[in-house]
Formats: sequence, C-alpha cells, structure tokens
Amino acid sequence: MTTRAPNPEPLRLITGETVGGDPAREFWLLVGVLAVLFLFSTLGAMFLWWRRTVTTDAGDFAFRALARRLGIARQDRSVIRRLAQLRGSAPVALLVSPSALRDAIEACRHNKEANLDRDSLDRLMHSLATG
Amino acid sequence: MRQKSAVMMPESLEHRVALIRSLPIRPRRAAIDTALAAASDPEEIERLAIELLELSVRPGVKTKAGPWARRGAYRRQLDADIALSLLCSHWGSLSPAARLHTLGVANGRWTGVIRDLVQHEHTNARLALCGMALASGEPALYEPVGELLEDEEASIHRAAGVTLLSLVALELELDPATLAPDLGPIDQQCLIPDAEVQPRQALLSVLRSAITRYGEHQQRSIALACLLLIAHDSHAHALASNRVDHAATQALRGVLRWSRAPITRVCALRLLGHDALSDAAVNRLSRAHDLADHDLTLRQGHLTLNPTRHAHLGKIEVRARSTTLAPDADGTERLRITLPKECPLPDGSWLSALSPQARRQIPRWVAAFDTDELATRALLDPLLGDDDELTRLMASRGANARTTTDFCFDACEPIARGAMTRFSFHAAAQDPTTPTHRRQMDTLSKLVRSPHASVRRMAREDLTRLDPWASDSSQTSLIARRRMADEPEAFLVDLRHVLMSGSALTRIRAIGIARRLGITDQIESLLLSLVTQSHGPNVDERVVASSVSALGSLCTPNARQTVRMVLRHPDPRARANAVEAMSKQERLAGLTDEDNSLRSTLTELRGDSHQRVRANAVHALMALPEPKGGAALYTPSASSALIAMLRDERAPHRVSGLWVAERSAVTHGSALVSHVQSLAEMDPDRGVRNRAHGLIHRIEVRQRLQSTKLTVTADNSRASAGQP
Repeated sequence: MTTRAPNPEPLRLITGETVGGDPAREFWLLVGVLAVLFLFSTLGAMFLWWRRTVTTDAGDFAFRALARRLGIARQDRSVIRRLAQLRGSAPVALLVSPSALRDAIEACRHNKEANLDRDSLDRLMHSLATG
Repeated sequence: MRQKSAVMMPESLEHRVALIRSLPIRPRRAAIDTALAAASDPEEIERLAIELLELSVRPGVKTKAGPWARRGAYRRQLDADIALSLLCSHWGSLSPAARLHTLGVANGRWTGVIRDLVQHEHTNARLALCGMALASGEPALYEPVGELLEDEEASIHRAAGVTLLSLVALELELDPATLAPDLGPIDQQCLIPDAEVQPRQALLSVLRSAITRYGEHQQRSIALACLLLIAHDSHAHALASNRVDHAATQALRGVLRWSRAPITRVCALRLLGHDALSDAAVNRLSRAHDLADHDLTLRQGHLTLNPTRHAHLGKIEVRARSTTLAPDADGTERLRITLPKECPLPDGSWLSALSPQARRQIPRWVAAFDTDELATRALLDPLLGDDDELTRLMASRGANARTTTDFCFDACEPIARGAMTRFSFHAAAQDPTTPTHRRQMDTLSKLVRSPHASVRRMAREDLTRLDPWASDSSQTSLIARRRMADEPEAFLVDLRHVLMSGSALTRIRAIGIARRLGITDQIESLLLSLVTQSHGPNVDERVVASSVSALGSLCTPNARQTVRMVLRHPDPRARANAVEAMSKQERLAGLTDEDNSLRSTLTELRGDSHQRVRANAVHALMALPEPKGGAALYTPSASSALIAMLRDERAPHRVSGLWVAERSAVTHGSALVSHVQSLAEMDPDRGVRNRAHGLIHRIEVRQRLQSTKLTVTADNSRASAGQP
C-alpha cells in the first residue's frame, strides 16, 4: 500500500512585481457592474416617480389609468376634464359614475360659457344613449 | 380612435368598478371618493359605497408575523381608516342600509373618524358627524358635535345644536312633535351602541360645557336641550345656575318663557319649584297656544298636587267674561261665558279634540289655578256630560254641590259612589219639617233602589243616620236611644210628629222604637187616637195592630177600654194583638179576673175564624190562673180548646195549635203530646208534620234538661245535708 503526497502549490518566485490579469476581461467586468447599477437606479427612480405620482395626485393617476384602460381618445379626455372643471368635481368621478357624466353634459349644454364643442358633447351623449 | 372611444361609454358601472379594483389602493380610493361625491343615481351611490365599505374593513395583524409583514398590515389598516373616514364624510348621501353597515364598520374606530371629520374642509363632511352621532347614539361622538357648535359655518353650528337637542329628546324618549317648531322629525336610530359611557352622562357633560359657552354660540336648541334635561332628570339641575343674571340662566329663562314648543310648558310645570326659573315657568304656564300645548300639559295634572307647584299655580288667574244673550221663547235669559284668548285652560270648544287623559285632568287644573266662579262653570260644566267615565268622575268631584245629587244616579258605579260619598258628607240631620230634610229623604229613598250595591248600602246607612224611623235595624234603635238620652224633648216631638204625619211604615217603626225604649206612656193619647180612628180611610190596619200591641203595656182605663174595643175589629191581626194586649194588661195590673170577665171573653174568642186570634185566645186562657171554681173548671176548658185546634180540619189552625202547645207547659206523656205525635205521623199536610216533629224533639230536650237540673239540685241538697 502506497500513499500519495498532497499536490503542493506551484512554486513562485517573489520578485516584487504585481501579478497581472487580462485587461479586457476586467474592463468588461466593470462595464457590466456599471450597467447593472444604472439599470437598478433607473428602475428605482421610475418606481419613486410612479409612487410619488400615485401618492400626490391619486385622482389624476386614476383618471389616466382608467382612461387608458377604457381606451378613451385624447380629445375625449380633454372634454371630460373640461366638463369636470365646469362641474367642480374630479375628472375621474365622471369616468366612474355615468350619472355624474350625464349630469355634467346636461349642465354644460345649458351653460353658454362652457366653450365646448357640441360635436364632442353629442358624441358623448350618443355613446351614453347606446348604453 | 373615435370609434374606440364610442365603444367605451356603454360599459356598465360594474365593469368600471372592476377596472378600478385593478388600480393601486390610493387612486382606487380617490376614484370612488370623488365619484361618490359627484354621483346622483342612488343605485350608483349604493354600489360605490359598498366598494368603499370594502376598503374600510380593517385587515387583521398576525401576532407571529415578522416585522415587515406587520408593517405592511399596519399600513393597510391605516388605509382602511382613511377609507372609513371618506365613507363617513358621504353620510348625507348614503342609503339607510349603507349607513347601518357604515356604523357597524366604524363601531370602535371612532377616534380616527372624528379626527378626520371635525376639521374636514367640506361642510358635508362635518355635517356627517352630526348625522352619525344622531343615528348611532354613540356617546363618543357627542363631544365633537359639541365642538361643532362654534363652527364658522352657520349651518354646521345650527345642525350641531339641533343634533344635541334631538339626542336629548331620544334619551328622554320624548315625542319629537312636542318639540315643534324648535325641532323637526328625528332620524330613527340605526344602531344601538354598545357604549362604555352612559349616553346620558355623556350628554350631560357636553351640554354642561355647551351651556357655559352659550354667549359664544347662542344656540337656542342647546338651551332647550338643557331645559329638557333639567326638567326630567334630577341629576341635571347643575346645568342651571341659581344666579338669575348668569348668561346661561338668562338663556334658559328666555327659552322657557317664549318657546312655543308644547314640551316647554310641561318643563315649566316641572320647574315651578326652581328658584331661578319659577317666574318664567309661571309666565309660560299662563299661556297656551294650541291644542298640543293644552293636551300635553293637561295630561300632567297630577303634578299640580305638589304643594310648591300648587302655590305657584295659584298665582295664575283665570277669569271668564259673561255676555247676556237674547231671551228664549219662554223668556229665560241665557248667559254666554267666554274665556280669554290664550287662556291656560281649554274651554268647551276644545274638549272634543283633547285626549281623554287630558280631559280627566282639567278639574285638577281648575282647582290649582285662581279660577273664578264663571270660569269654573265654563270649564267644568261641559265635562259633566262627557262620554268618558273617568272624566265625569273627576269633573263631578269639582262640580257645584247642587249637581252632586244628579251624579248619585250615574250609570257608572265609581261616579255614583263618589257622588254618594259627597252627598253623605254634606247631608246632616235636620228638622224633619224642613224642605231640605224632605228632599234629602226623597233622594235617599230613591237611592236605596240604586243599581249599584255600594250606593244602596250608603243610602241605607244615611237613611238610618238622618231618620231614626226609617228602618228597623239595631243601629236605628241605638241612635233613637241616644237621642232620647241626649235630648228627650226634641226626640218626643219628632216621635209625635212621625206618629201624626208619617207614612204607615214609619209609624209602625216609630211605635216599635217607643215600645223598645219603654216610652209608650208618653204617646198614649196618640196611640189611642190611632186606634180609635182605625175605621178612617187613611189608617192602615197594621198601624192599628201595632198601636194595640203598644197599648198592652199600659194599664190605664182608656187603654184597657180601647184594647177591648179592638177585639171586635174586622182585621184579624188587630184582633189577635188586642187579645195579647188584653192578657198583658191583666197581668201587669195584677188582676185576678175574679168576675171571670176576661175568661169569658177569651172563651168566646177561642172559636174565632182566624187561627191567629184563636191561638192567642187559647194561649191566654192557658196562662190564666185557676178560677175560683177549681182546676176542674180550668184545665179541660183550655186543653180541650187546644186539642180542638190540633184536630181542626184547617191546616193553619193546626199549625197555630202547635204554636200554642209549644208555649204551654206540655210535658211528655200527657194527652196533648199524644195528639202532637199523631199529627207528626199522620197529618196530611207536610208542613204540619214537620212542625209537629220539631215540637216533639224540643219537648224531649226540654224534659231531659229539667231532669238533669232536678238531679243536680237533689245532689246539692244531699251534699248540703251531709248525706252520702
């Protein structure tokens, strides 16, 4: 029975010079780290922006989110915002409540200072009527 | 894009709610909150309220959860509290069902809701606090409502005052109609709170604070609320200062004096004893504005019996005016009595509209106020004919004494009994010759036939008390005996008056009383005249019979002669009594009938056709002493007469014979007893048989008693003689 001696570390001569790696590899490593940091900071910033938006103007956020999900055209959104402004309520309220929107349109028809396009109102009314 | 937009609008509310649910919590809450504020359709409001209610439910926190999980749970609880506050701020537009659910969710979480609502920028949100306090009755909400009394918005501090007043009304279970016009209808409570603090204590605390700040908010409803509590709760007296110049006291006095709410008049009645409020209370009580004002206060008539209140009410004068109307067809003048405007008591025109409970109390109020004769008539006379029995009863108590007799005949027993009691109280024994006495006697003689047992009994007692000749009772004899002892002259005058002019029954009773008192000698002449005038048309035979009996105790020649004269009277009762009286006179005079005149008269009468005369004659014969001729002459004659009676074919004569046999010294084994035994066994009449049986039994008992007595006497005599 024979025993093998453990594999010893390779012998190196101490000369005082640093041991050098592959420069290209180190560069790409650095780029990768920076890219990850950038990505995370961007995502964090987006999250903070989103959160601030949700927190500070929850109503507007809800309006935009609902309008988007309901597929409301840009010009219709502005009509709804104008109606809400005239009525003194939040725009999202008109999106959520059909009766509020109907009342707002009726009130706007009788308000000469509304400066709203009649076609837009008719279109909204038509869409209500078909419902 | 336009086409796409047009497709969007028909989407249902449910679809939009589903879209909202996908939003983060804050936008979702904001969307529902603003939509609730803007929506006008009740169904939409209901649906959105449910959605917000769902957000208001607090999630639980696991005790073993980690710190991050706990923090998240606490954040969700905070979001739920905000949602609850938002939901509560829409209280005014919520349906009753949604309100009930809201109160259910909010129970125990009021601190956050109150903090958010008290300083909410929107008026409706602050008003919601008042609505919730009223609907829930939650004591935790009273304090913030009290704070709203100093709100800048007029509608808010007015609502806060009305809310507290409504809470007091609910706490005291008062009808809101009695607080009109100061308070409208109150929303029904939705939830009975499981409060740690007693609602009344919380109300007292808030109102104590509110009334001290009266100068700042000047809410009349707060003063009225305090007044209600002071009047109905003895613990609330601290709400009113005894200093008249205090602002709060001034407010209370002002409300008490000038409020037209009917309940304030009741408060005035209750607060008559309060030092600082009594004069305002008197002022309020001296005016009544409408039917409700009258009705509510009149119902509390029992409170007027309190001496302090009674003294204060006596300051209020009620004066009526009379106007002479045109005379009737028969020339009778009529008076119209009118009460002044806003009179504290209602006149006849209000009566039909008043409740029975109010009408019943009017007599108490009449007695409490300083009411003149005319006003009393105007107020009470219409009540005397009221359909309600208790009203008549109360009115009859306060009515004029002249109408008392009428009420003795009322169909309602309590009324008749009450009137009878008053009648008895006022009726006094008077000279029988006076018209008053005659009226009393007439009334009483009718009342003894009253359908009510209690009235009949009282009438009989009164008759006895007022007229000793009116009945045969032992009480009558006692009264007569006392009168004879106290005032013999007056009593004899009365007695003679009755014998001369009384009815037949009264005369008979008077004769009976005279016999019992042993004063027949005082009225001998009257008795003689009654007997001698016995053939007149107006003389009753019963009076003659009674008079003859009374004469039996007199041995004067006139009496004896008169009695003998009556022996030939056509009335058998008079003849029978005359036989008795004659026998008695002979005994009293100690006459021995030496000339056998009495015996011959009695012997003649033993064959009378009437059994009573015959029995008396036989009985008297048997009681006579032995005649001069010896026993042989006496005994067969009387005994044979008695045996002849017992053998008579007429049953009444046989019965009378038994009566005589019982009173004679009949002994067992004698010939008479054998006749009685044969009657007991064989008489065809059942009544005779029964009487005969009874007589035999009594004879046996009597003989046993006699033999026992004889034995005892013999033993005693032997014992006294020393024999064994």
